[in-house]
Amino acid sequence: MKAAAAALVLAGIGLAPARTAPPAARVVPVTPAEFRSKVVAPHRGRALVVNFWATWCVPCREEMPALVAAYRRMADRPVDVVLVSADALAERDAAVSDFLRKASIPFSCFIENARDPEDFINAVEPAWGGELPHTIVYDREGKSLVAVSDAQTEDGFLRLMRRGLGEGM
Amino acid sequence: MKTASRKIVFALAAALLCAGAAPGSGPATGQPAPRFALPVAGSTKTVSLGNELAGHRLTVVIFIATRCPYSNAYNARMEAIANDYAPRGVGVLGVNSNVTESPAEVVAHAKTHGLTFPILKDENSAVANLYGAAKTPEAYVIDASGALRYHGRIDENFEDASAVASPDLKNALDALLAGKPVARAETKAFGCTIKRP
Repeated sequence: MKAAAAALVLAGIGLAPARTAPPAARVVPVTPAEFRSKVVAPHRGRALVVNFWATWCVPCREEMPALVAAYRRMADRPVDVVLVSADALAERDAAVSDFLRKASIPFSCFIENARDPEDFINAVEPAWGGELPHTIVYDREGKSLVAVSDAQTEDGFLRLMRRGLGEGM
Repeated sequence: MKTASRKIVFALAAALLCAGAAPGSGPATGQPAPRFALPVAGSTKTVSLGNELAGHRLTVVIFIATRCPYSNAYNARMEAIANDYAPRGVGVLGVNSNVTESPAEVVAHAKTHGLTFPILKDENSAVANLYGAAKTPEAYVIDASGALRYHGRIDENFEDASAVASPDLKNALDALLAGKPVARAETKAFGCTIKRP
């Protein structure tokens, strides 16, 4: 809460908050109504890459190292990465946390918590059909800039991160 | 005659496939469903949508995969729909558009999982492009006139078939067979991205 408030203050005076140490593999449920406030809004002032994935999605798991590598190459830039899992909530600890911990994934991770997956998909982006993997890039104001549904390479993620910073198309 | 008509079918398919669309930009419900002809995976037999429409009150086209756990969670449900609705004039076609999954793999997968409805191999994902299909499983219901009547998921609960609250594909079939409008003609769920070339 304090960190989010500090981020908003810094964003308000034009300074992007620095990256904080990645949390442990804690996976936080997020409802459709909470998506903007919990997932996107805390990163205002920085570009944000939100990667939607699931442990059952092989290309999602396969592209994760590329996302980590791209994030590390952008370490000195104001870009954050957040994961949102489409796994069943019951899989949160056994599958999702376990995968993140074993793969040493340094990102915060949410897990969708909707009675009906359609509600969550539409809350994120009405044009999205629900296919995974899916990555959305937000600019520093939290505006959605681009979305891709193919598994990305490290260079692909770098390009997306630069788009979030307003560099290149 | 057979050869000549086959050539026409392939020519028609090729012409239609050239007009392919990107994922997510397929026909809206109520619009004509794109016609296609594709080989049955692992076979020399070809199935054309036109022939299927002529022989059924409704035709269900489901984009499926061999390696997608989300699609595989629906194997038994898809087979049950094919069997349960066949006596009521409903045909089911599976379409595998993943470039990563070979015809031989499709055949082996169907055998392993007891899928008896025809599964067509869409080698270049061209039919997926025509329909704007993005993921597996993704279902389309087409009436005998060729109009798309339903597009979306099989149901909302991939984890537990016994706890489904919204059997959307069955609801659409039941409504259409009863001559009623489909209450929810477009639905969404998660799924695996179709692997295009």
